Amino acid sequence: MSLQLVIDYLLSPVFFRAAMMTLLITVTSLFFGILAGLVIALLQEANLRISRILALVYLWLFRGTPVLFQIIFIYNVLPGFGIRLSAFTSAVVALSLNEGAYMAEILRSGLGAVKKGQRTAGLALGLTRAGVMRHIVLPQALRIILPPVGNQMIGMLKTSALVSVVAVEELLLVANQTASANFRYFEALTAAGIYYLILTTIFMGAQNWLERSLDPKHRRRRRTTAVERLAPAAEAR
Amino acid sequence: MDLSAPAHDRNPAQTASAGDRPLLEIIGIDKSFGHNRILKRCSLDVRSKETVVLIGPSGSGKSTLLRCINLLEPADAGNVFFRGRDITRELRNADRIRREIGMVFQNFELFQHLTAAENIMLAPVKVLGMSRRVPTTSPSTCCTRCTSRTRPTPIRTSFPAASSSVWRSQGRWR
Repeated sequence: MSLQLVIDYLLSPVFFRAAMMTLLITVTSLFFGILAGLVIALLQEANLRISRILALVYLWLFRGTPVLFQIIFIYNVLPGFGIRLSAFTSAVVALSLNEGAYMAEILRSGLGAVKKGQRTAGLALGLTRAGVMRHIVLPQALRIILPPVGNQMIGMLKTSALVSVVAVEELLLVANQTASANFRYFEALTAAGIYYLILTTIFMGAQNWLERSLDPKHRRRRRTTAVERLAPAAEAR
Repeated sequence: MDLSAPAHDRNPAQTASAGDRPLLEIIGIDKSFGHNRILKRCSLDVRSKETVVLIGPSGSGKSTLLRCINLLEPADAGNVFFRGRDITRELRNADRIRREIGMVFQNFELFQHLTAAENIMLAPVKVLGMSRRVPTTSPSTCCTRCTSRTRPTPIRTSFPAASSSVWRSQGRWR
């Protein structure tokens, strides 16, 4: 057991690059996952039978099979149909599609939590359906879904370790390879674990910041300057 | 609700002058929800600057009539004329028609994620595309208008939930 070796691994470019790869996979998969989720959630909300069925089949497929299976399937089976993706692309595609299914359900819960009367009120003001979605429903839904989305973000960070099976040079694969060369498992895995904790901490901080910036009570404090600018105009009357 | 009594009985002086049509004309509209027929050949004229009060027990169709006027509910039959134009089937242009017809809901339906001032400014800014800086839409102007009894101090950052019924019923800003 050598603490020095743990520190050496932590500061080594190989581990740093692997951690950045893990972060890159996580962030891109989350981005496309949220996008896919939004599409599926809106398909489910739509008044069209076919779109609801489509969304349901998607959810059934991607929640019904293991992520690990989906990663391996996309990497190994799709080339047989002429679709050849790099290991990194396969990993991101698989994780995004999987994430989309869970994100869709979270988004749907948020959209459903905004009361129907709020939509009607928006329509009565003359907003279009898209305007109601953008200015009234989504901002309110976003606040509601933030805690579960935070869960998904941190979950994704850890799920990204699974893509080591298709030989993407991410944190766990690099740690394991390093250790198998000299059997210093404790040091290599500890270094990887510390990197995971650092990344998770960053994500938790980001979630906390987002939650506070969307909280009306917090926004209120930030805007006191605007009040002071307006106050004299009214005092004059 | 059955408002089938001829509209001119209410105000003979105005209907006498032919040519100028009422601002809002409702002619024999029907509305049913399932087997529940709410509006039965309902007719009503509203002229410019006229104030009309609808009174009736709950469930008698007051709100349904209002919702049919600004197309939140399409009428099953009959016609609604607004400024002389038949808007009954214009569901595609509903958003443009609603810009000219105001509506306040029974439970107000304030937008919880917006401040009091943003609630007021939403329609002028997002629907009519007015600037936030135009004096007529600025919250201080709106506020002074609606707070006759209280000192007009525009706390533009207060949120509906924070001040609850006081905010709603008195239009107060703190």
